[in-house]
Amino acid sequence: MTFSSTSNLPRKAGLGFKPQHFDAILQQRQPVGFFEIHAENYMGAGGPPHARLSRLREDYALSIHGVGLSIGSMQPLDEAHLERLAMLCDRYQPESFSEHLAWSSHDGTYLNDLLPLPYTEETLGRVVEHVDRVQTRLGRQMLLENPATYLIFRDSTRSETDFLREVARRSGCGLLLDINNVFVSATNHNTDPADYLQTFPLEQVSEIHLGGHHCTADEEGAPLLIDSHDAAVIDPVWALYERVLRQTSPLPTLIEWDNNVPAWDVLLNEAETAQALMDACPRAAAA
Amino acid sequence: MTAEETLACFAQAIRNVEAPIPAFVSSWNTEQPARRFGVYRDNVLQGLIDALAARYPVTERLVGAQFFGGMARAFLEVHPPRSPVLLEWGEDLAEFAAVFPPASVLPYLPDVIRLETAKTRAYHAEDVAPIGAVDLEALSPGQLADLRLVAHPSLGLVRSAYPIASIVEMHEEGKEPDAALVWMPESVLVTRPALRVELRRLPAGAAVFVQRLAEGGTLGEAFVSATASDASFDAAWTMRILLESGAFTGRKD
Repeated sequence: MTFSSTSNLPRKAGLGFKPQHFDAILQQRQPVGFFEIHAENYMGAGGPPHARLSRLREDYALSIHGVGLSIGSMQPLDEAHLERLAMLCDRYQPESFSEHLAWSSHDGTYLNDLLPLPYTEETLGRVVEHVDRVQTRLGRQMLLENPATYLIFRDSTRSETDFLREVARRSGCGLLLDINNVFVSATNHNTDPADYLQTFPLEQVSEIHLGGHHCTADEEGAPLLIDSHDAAVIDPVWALYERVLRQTSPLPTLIEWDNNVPAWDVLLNEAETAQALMDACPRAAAA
Repeated sequence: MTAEETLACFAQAIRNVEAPIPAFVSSWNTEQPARRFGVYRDNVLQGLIDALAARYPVTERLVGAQFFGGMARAFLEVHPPRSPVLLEWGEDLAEFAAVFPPASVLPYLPDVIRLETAKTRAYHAEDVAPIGAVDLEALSPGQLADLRLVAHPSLGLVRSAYPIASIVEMHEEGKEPDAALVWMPESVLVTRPALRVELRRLPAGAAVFVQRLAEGGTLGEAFVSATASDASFDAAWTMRILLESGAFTGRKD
């Protein structure tokens, strides 16, 4: 399938937009390539959220990132929600739209978390159908993000990277590689994140996410990391990012910091770190 | 087991903390990953409580985080969100609080929640320019009496036997509760003519007047109802307040 519109964010560091930073952002042209928003926070009809976003949109590239479409559900997609997403995309014409390989609704109840699914032929078929439907309705290519997971399904017959590669191949979607999620999941499953990246279809990646997580332990005393988006990116995640950059050209890279949101300059500093790594990557000149 | 049945069982075990961990999940180091499954349970439960608290910050400060958390948990059992648009979730919270036994010692709580609901609705309402005095100037007294107005999408009216606007204002972020609160009924007009949500206290007659207009009554009908309920009803003052607050967007023909 070909799309009239594919993801085309600038290959720069971007930041999640938080309303409390709005005034600071408007002080001057900020050294960020784009802003990303959570779609569901902009589904009111009007008011300050849209006023701020419209203003921001005048000056910056925009990524709309959905957290509630439940693409990994085995039940039909929520068409009413897809309509809301279509309206939002029509209104703001974002450079990119992305969602998650996860589910968050069941029997019409919204569970407000990105829940995991088994990776089988059956779930693969359903996810491809859903991604198809989203791309058809939005008239654009979407990006699908790898999840952070805390447990595994005994029934899974495919690896996550294999599953994502196949969804991308069959639906024509792009991928959003969340490197913090890779680190969190690998730690939680006692595997090597480098192995995961080795098998990840990097050629399909159109955006990268980096974020912070929270460390705890399971009942056996093994590390259990939680994808909390409430802290700075840790060094091992930066190292994995550099590893990816050595294999790709620079990619649109978002710093996610959604809880315990710091002051604007702290957030900007994270983006600058990502930008510096991109600028230093060997393929930067070729991009 | 189909994948749909698997996810149904997963969802059921997430919502019922007493349920056993589904047998189809595991982890590298244990057959029964209770702590890991618990992460999803906590994320769902705490995430929804936090979302409700984000929509009702004044209510949360008024009753305290612990009480609010308990109420949110009980609310969630009966009114789980039906859509991912959480800024719309919680419309039934006031009715729920009215029959939530632990809240019976706070008889004003449902009305405070109603006012906060109206504030949030106004905040997210469609942006429409309100009418001004100039739009009505050319009308004769007879035409005015027959006029029906279109409510602004942000318009809300909460009539209460309690001083709800005062309670809400003193529990806004950065404010200190005022011990000198005058315990008087307050009816509150909520509007957002531009980008700021505005609250105005209305005398009893003015509140009736607004309510009749919002229900589609003519200015004449609203005037009759308002005067009947409140002998001191001041029509000129009320019209000025309604125009200044941006309560209406146009004339219904």
